[in-house]
Formats: sequence, structure tokens, C-alpha cells
Amino acid sequence: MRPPKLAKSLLKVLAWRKDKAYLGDVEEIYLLRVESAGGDSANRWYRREAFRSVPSFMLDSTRWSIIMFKNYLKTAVRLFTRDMGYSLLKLSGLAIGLACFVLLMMWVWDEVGWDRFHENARFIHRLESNSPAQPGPLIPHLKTNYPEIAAGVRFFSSSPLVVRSGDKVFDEDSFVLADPSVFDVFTIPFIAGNQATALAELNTVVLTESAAKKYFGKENPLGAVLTVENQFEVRVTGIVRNPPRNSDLQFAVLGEFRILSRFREGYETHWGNHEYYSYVRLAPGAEARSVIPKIARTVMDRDPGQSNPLTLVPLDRIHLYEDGAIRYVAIFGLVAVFILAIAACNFVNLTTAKSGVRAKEIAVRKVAGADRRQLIHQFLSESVLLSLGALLAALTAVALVLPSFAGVTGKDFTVRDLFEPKMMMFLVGTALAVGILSGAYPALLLSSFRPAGLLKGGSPGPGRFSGAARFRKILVVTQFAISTILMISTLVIYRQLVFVRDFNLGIQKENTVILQAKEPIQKSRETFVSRLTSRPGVVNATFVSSPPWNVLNYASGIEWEGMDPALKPGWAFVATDDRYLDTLGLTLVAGRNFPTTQSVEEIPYFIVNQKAVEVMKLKNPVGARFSLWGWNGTILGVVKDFHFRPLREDLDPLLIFVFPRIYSLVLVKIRPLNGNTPEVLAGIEDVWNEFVPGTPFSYEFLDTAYGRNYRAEQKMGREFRTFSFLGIFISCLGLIGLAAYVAERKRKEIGIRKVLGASLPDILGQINREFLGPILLSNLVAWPAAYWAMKAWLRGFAFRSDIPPWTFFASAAFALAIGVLTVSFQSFKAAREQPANSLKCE
Amino acid sequence: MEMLSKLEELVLISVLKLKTEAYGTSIYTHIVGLTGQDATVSNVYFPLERLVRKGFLLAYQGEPTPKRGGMGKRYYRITKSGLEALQENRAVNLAAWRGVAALIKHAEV
Repeated sequence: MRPPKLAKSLLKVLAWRKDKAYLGDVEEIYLLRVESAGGDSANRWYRREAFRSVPSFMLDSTRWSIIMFKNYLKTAVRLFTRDMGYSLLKLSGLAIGLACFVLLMMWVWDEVGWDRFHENARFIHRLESNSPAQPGPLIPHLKTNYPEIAAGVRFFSSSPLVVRSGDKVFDEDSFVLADPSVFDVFTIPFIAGNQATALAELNTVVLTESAAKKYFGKENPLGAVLTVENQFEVRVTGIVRNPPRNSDLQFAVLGEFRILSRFREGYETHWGNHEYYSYVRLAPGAEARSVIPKIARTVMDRDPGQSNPLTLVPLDRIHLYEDGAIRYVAIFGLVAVFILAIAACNFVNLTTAKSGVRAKEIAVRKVAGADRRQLIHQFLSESVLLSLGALLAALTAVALVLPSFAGVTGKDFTVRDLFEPKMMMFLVGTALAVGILSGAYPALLLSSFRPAGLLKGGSPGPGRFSGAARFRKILVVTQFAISTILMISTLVIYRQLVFVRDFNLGIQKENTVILQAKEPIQKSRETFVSRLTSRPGVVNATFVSSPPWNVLNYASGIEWEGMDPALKPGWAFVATDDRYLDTLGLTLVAGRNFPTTQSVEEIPYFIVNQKAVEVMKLKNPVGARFSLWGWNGTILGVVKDFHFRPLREDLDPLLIFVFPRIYSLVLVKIRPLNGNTPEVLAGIEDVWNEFVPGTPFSYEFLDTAYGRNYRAEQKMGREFRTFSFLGIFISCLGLIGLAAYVAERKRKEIGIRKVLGASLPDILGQINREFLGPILLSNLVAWPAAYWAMKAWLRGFAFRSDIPPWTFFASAAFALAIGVLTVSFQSFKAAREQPANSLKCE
Repeated sequence: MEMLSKLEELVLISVLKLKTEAYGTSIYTHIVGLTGQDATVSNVYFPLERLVRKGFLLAYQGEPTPKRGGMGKRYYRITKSGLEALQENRAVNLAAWRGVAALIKHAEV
């Protein structure tokens, strides 16, 4: 008879640390039972025995772990305080690494969580064709015809509007219109007012908390009235929470959609005007996959200008994938892991370097009966304890620097974001993992020492120390490789930023002021321009439909002489006047400028860029027949190519024509007298006040606006700079510890060398040689990796700088110099010591 | 003095009674026979080890036998301080139980 297998293995596992006699007893009793009561009864008894013993064994093992843990804790604290400087070095390296990790992860966390807070997030989709802007009738049409679409909402983001509350006037640049169903699609918590009726009535708005405070101070805003553009009034029907930072849905004032009739005609019926971002919430159970084919042709069938099918993009993909944030999430996530890896390498290095000190303790523990498992357990709990301590220090540090970090990330994090439960769980988990991973090698190494040799004061066993030394060198190589990669990347990113800044865009962006084309200005354009140019220092002014740094208007429905009908081109366009070319310093390579500022409806003249000519494949573009939206006209001139999109993108065809109805901005070219820009601006403000009194004067410079195109890259440059320096710094903390260790081990050797006539530089060189190799070797890894990574990054730019060899040499030289300095500084004391002192002992 | 738990007391008495034959199986069988309780071997094993740590018992290794799956016996023997502890506990027990029988007999519930 044999006892049941499962129960037997359970008992074995439970009693693995106990005396074997226990299992023997159970077996013997089992056999006695077999004899007295039979096999079945004995088996039953055995199983009961095994399972009922679980609690007492668990209790027993917990009790022992606590006792041993107390002992480990005591040893750890003693060890920490015995060599305080060294321990602090170890702790601070890890703490800085963790702090960097926390900061970067907060950013990544925020990006990944973009717009996911909406309760229905997984049912919400954005309607897209070639762009996310859709015609006005689309949403009502979909809502009535497709039961799969539970709710839909259109948005219109107005250009800045002048909003007045009593005697307070603001230029509101976040005035958004939406259908009342917006609350049915998105989660927008109300503080006051009724969500169900909030935007149902004509001319009603809801305000965010901060907007309510801005307009009404401490008064109750519910039912209060705001005057918009001095033309119409809206009533406040609700107060909502400020939209979270990580959301595309940003507004200060959210008005009901029919207010749009003040700005647009026929938006409810006109399928040709693609202007409104539209979202739908699918009914539960409806699959986007099966809805898309049904709605795909909705716009194409009604607007001949639209040649792209309609599709649904899930809300949680928009920010990360459609807007490309995933690239930066990946890059910063990688940097975070890199920095943490450097810090973990440090930790391992500093722990194993000091293993000689612990050799005796390990030997005594082993002699007293500790098995390897227990020792590993001990060292792991030590490193986990230390890494949790480091996390505590890191969190404190992060909480302190968080406000200044906003400048680096462009996100205004608060301490509350840091201590968010999920984030905390993730961070504690990371700290535990780092503790276990970085404790694993020291634990395995230290627990493998052989007590006999150690207690005699000799070697811990064949190859133990030299193996550890090799491993430490590999870690130093890793640390410096990562630091060098970060440094090279920083240099390349900065070079590209300078390249972009100094790039000849083919446009004169200096000394140009951008103003909003408010309605009164729009109405009397010629007078406005002549009043402006009569002011000293103002050279010229032009009206435009879209800003020249980022032309986002695309026109379909284009045709030219001899066009391949299958082509269906969509071109960027600017509607402007005859002063456009002059104001921006653009030159014509053929043909002439617009003769008058008469609209394209009256005289359909077009100017195109060189790229457009190339695409049209016309030999004599000037005078060629060209038509847009059914206006048949001619090409009047060809303008030299200039960059009207960020340099990430290649040159595209551009269409320029006169069409005052859609002007939105005024560009004013100034020539400051003796560099006195404020005086010129004051002149412009005077004219502004003449035309739109009571509207706050606001302006921007064109070159600043251009700079905005590269905000993400600038941020990345700043972060890489910060983190590459921190990476180097942490690596150097490790070097300090290692150098101290080497200097101490070589104390006698240094003494003898000095007696034999070695000079101070000789000794320093001797110690430095230990680290020179690994640091130089790290370039072997870093250079190809950095080259490959930066090549990939630069590929994101249609116009890019190169990666010159000096960036590699400079980074390597810097790392080396810092390394040598650190090691020399640390070993200086050892090298200066009198040989008499170091040699006399024993 | 060291107060013993009921189980420790029983285990200690069993070891004393079993003389040179006191090991896991015999102690377990003895106690189960005495109490009629359905105890597990570990219920006996942990008090045994506790008593060893307290110095009331000493343990020594015996020969392995085939009946035990090749595992050796762990014999226990009571020490001098074990005997003293037993003595003291017995005195306490006797004192505590004095007159209880009569009380139980006449008690009204």
C-alpha cells in the first residue's frame, strides 16, 4: 500500500524545512492504519492529515520568517550605519534613478490614460475620412438612420470671441459649440445645473469651474447672461468640472450648437463644408467593424468633392496613434527604463564590491547552519528593503521638484497625480522588482562563498572575486553605454532643433505680427490696412484664411487642363489678398500677382506653388485653365516654394486665391524704427481700438508661432538633456564607490609602488586604468545603438540635419573625462597616503 | 515557573510514560488513544519541537526502518528541567482541581 500521491507531495512541501522524522512518523502510522482498518480508511486518514496540517505549518513558517527577518533587519541597519557614506551613495543612486523613473512614468501614464476617463470610452468613436472634420448634416443623418449609433455629437471650435459679463470683458479663446447630446457621449461631471436640459434651449452655455470664476467671481453664475462679440446674449445653464489635462475635449465655454447659425449659414443642410469634429457613441453590442461598411459612403454620396470613405476611429486610439503620441510615449518609457537600469547597475556594483566585508558574516551564518536558500532570502530582503527606502526618498524628491518639472514636460502635475492609487501600486511594484532583480546577483554570489576559506581570512572559493569583478565591469560598460546613447541623442536632437530654427523656409517670418480678423475689421479691410500702414513702422498687412506656419485647409474638387480624372487631388489652400506675397516676402517665379482684391467668385484667378506645377505636369502653367469648387478660372502666377507645414512634412502643392468670406487672421509686416518694437505695436493697438473698441488687443509674432510647430521636439530635447546628465551623474556615483573599493584593495600595492618610486600621477593612472577599459568599451555598444535610434528619429522629418561624427566623439570624450575625474578625485586620498602608514600594519 | 499548555502537558507525560520508546508515532498513538480526539501528527509534532526548544525534552536520531519510507526515527527523552516543569504543573493542577468534583456534583445549571 502506498499513501495518496497528491497528499504526500503536499506534506513534503509543507515539511521541507522540518526534520525528516516527521514524514517517517506519518508514513509509519499510515501503514499501521492499513493493517488495522484497511487501505481506504488509511488513505482517507492520510489525506485528512495532509490538508489539516496546512494551517499549523503555515503559521510555523511565518513565525520563523518574522524571527529571521528581524535578524536580517538588524544586520542590514548595522551594515548601513557602519559605512554610512557608502550606504548613502548606494541609496541615493537608486533614489535618483527611481525619481527620474517616477517623473517620466507620470508623463507616460498621463499620455496613455488620454481620454480614457470617459465612462463610455470604449464605445466612443470619431468619424474620419481624409480628416476628422465632417459636414454638419452627418451626425443627425447617422443618428436617424442607424440604430447602432446610440448618440452623436458635433463640435465647432470658434476662433477667439469677445465675451462680456457685466463690465468684465475677456477675449475667450476656448469657446466651443456642441450638440446637447455631448453629455450623452462624453463624461462631463456637473457641479451645478441640470445635465439633461443644460444645452437644450437656444442660446445657452455651460461654463467650466474656472471660467465661471473668471466671469462671475463669487456670484452665482446659473441663469446669468454673457454678451458675445457685443452682438448676442447667452444664458448660463450649468457649471461643469474643468476638463482633465489629458483630454482632447478642452473648453472654457461650451455653447449649444445652434449658436453656430451666427457664424455659418446652412450648416444643417450643407454637405460640402467639412468643418465639424464629430463623435458617436455606439450602442452596446454594436461593433465598429460592422458599422463602418454601412456608413462608409454617406458623405461621398452627397458631396462630390469628397473621395475618401468614412470610417470610425476608437477614442482610445486617437491620441496615441492618430496624433502620434505613442512615439513619445515609447521614447520616454525607454528613457525611464534606461535610467532605472543605470541605477540598478550601480546598486549591484556597489553591493558586490563590498562583499569582502560581509564574507565573515556569511561564513558564520553558514557554519551555524544557514542553507543557501536562507542566505539568498536574507540578501534579497536587504535589497528590497533598500529599494523601498530609495522609493520613499524618490517620492519625496519628486513631490518637491514637481512644480519645476512642469517646465520640462509641459504638464502641470500635482502631488495628487503622484499619489494616485494605481500609480502608487505600479511604483511600489517597480521598486520591489528592482530590489529583487538588483539583489539577485549579489545574493547568488555572496551565498556561494565557501565558509572554510573565508573564516581563515582567505579566498571565498576559486574564481569568486574575479568573476564578480568581471561582472562589475560589464555593468560599468552598460551604464556608460546608456549614458553615452542619451548624450549623443541629446546632441542630435539639439542640432535638429537649431536646423529647424535656422532653416530657410522661403518666407520672411521675422517682424510679422498676427492679429485676429474680427468682424468689424473684416468688414472694412481696405480702410483697416490703410490706417495701419499710415502708422510709423508698419510696412504692409494682408488678410489670410489660415496661418502660414501650418496650413490645415484642404480643398478637394480641383480640376485643371489635362488632369487625369482619376486623380481627385486634395490640395492645401490659402484664401488671401493681393498683399500676401509682399507681406511674407514671397517671390513669383512666373506670371503675376492678383490685380485686385476681388473675390474668386467674381474673378477666378489662382496662384500655385512650384510643387503644384510639378504635380500638374504643365509646361506653361501661367494662363492654364484651372477650376475650384466649380469656379472656372486661370492660373495667374507661380510662387516659389515655401514651407507652410512643419518641416516634418514634405512640400505639398499649395493653392492661393482671393476669397474674403473665410479670412480669419491679419498678418502685419513691421519695420521697427531703431529697434523700437513696442512703439510700433502701440500704433497697431491704436488702430485696433478704432475698429473694435472694447475688445482686448492681442497679438502674436509669426516666428513664435512657427516655433510652436516644434514644441514636442523642444520638450524632448530638454528632457534628454536633463536625463542624460542625471544618467552620467548616477553612473559616476557608482564609479566613486568602485574607485574607493579599488583604492582600498590596492592600498598595500600603492604603498609598495610609492616606495619603489612611483609618482602621484602614476598611481592615479594605475587606478584609472581599471575603469578606462569599460568606459571605452561602452562606446562600442553606444555608438551603433545611438546612430540607429537617431537615424530613425530623424526619419520623422522630411527636412533633417545629419549626424556628424563629432557628436559621437564629443559624447565619448565627455563620459571619459567625467569618469577619469571622478575616479582620480576619489583615489587621490589613497595615492597621497604615506607608504609608511599603509605598509606598517600587520 | 513555566506554565505548560494542555497539549504540551499531555505530550510531556506521554514521553515520560513511553520511556525509551518515545518517538513521533508512539506518542501520537498514545495521545489519540488517551483523548479519543482526531488529532493530526503535526498537532503533536509542533508541541514536541517547542518543548525541545524550551529544554524540557531532548531529541536524538534513531535508525531508519523500511516501514517508515526509509526515514529515521526521532526519539525524545524528558530532561531534568522537563521533569521539574511537569512536577510544578501537576501541583498547580491538583490545587486547582481540589474540591471541583463535589462542586460539579451539586452545581445547578
